[in-house]
Amino acid sequence: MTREPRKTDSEPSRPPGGIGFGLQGATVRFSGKVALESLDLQLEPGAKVALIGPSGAGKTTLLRLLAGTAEPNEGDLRFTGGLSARDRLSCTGFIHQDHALVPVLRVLQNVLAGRLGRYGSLQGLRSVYFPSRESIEAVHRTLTRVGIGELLYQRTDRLSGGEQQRVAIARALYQEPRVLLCDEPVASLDPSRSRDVVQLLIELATESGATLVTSLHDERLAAQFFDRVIGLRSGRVVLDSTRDSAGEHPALSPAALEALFGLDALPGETP
Amino acid sequence: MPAPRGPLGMRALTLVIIALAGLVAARYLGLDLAGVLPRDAGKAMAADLLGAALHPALDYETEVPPGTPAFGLKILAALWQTLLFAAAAMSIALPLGLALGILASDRFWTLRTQGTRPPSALQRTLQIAVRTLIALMRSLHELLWAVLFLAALGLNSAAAVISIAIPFAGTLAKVGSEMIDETTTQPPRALVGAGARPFTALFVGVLPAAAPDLLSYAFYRFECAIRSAAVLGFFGYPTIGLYVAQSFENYQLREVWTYLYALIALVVVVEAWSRGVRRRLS
Repeated sequence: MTREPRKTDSEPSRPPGGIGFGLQGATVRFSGKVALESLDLQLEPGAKVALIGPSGAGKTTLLRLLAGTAEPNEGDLRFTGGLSARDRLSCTGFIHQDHALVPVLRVLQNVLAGRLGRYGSLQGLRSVYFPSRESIEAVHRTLTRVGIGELLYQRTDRLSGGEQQRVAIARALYQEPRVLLCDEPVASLDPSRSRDVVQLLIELATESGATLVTSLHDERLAAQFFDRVIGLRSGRVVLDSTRDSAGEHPALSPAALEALFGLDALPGETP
Repeated sequence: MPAPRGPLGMRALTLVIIALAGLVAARYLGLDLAGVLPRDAGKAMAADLLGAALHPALDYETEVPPGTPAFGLKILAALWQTLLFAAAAMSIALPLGLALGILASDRFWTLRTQGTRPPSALQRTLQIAVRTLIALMRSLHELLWAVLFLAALGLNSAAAVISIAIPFAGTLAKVGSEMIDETTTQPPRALVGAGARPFTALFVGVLPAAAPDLLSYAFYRFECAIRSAAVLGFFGYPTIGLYVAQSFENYQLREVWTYLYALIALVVVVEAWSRGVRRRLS
């Protein structure tokens, strides 16, 4: 194990700006089942992208490929920035569908854990269990930014689902990510809260210049907030829409959406 | 159309087999319900015991040599010794059991690979070695360990403490590894996915989630350790069991009951303490 150089909390933030991705013929299989099939995709640094498509289309797998927690079995994934494997992980914020927060810990500790990728083992432990005054202040600022500053010392498992999601967003944000990946962030929220959360994610990514990729089950939300909407079905891109100068998504036609979500099998697809 | 026949009939069969096994065992051991009732000389003894239970001694029953500490002080000192032996044993058993429990758990060995690959043959061998060690540690009761250590080391405190600590560390490790494996996989995976070291992910993402269960079980084992320490008094260690044995030999049954009540009070106090801690944590 290589020794990490000592870093302090007051160190200036990492260089801003998003990371771009290039996928060429990327195929991912899980125990023989194809999750992504020969995917070609370019994502510009700082892009704001929504992934839509039916369940099992490969949206989560694509997010995991981008996060570096899954590898393509065939094909190629390139990313800009020339980062080491670990640096890439530590500057990728991932908001999980189930939030993946540690239940017994306080909100403060859960958010502090976002920066564990910057430290060695023991220093990481210190950063979570014996945080400096500055990092507590930084966590409080982050929580305030997502609207839950008053929950700093609450136990995480005593919060509501919506509050826990804000903690998960704060943890990813505290990481100062250059890529922000979200897996169905609004799956369990009502429509007005869904819009608030998507709006917040867009704002946060825009402020830091991070690349934002999020899967959504609601294509109207995707069209309303995202410049680019990619439709996946059976592990393939069947729809790729970019917002036009009038702010519309002409490629998201009812016929295209029917082809994306419809129950009829596509040519060459095993139902 | 009638619903297809399921495997529900097996339940009744299982219950019948359990009942039959009980009957067969009772017959094989020659159990006789009359055996639980005292006979002849035992009757008088039982009566004395029950009578003494209602009138525990408040002072020594017979004349004691001058210089003997007051009865109450002697009980307090004996309880304190019992507590010391139990605490010393637990302070070895807890860290050892936790470390072995982590090494025996599946969660620990899959942190680095995030469950995408099975652990290597070497890792698997290490895990099985640890599990075997744990099984060996707890396969002997603390009293049997005490007999072994007494023979090897003589009547010294370290022997008593170690003979409690070994099986207790084994049990803590066994139950602890199961509690660790019952925690959710997502938080540590998320942390490793954000670049955290597996070691840190273990201490931040796994152990806190298991902590309330681990703590509550550790308290329970502390109670068990108090009882074991008390019983070790019968071997001659200065815990409350020693005085129970001595009074019993002198047929001072009222003193025996006072010691037993004192031991019960100690366990109740520890239980109240542990309940307070658990309530704050859960």
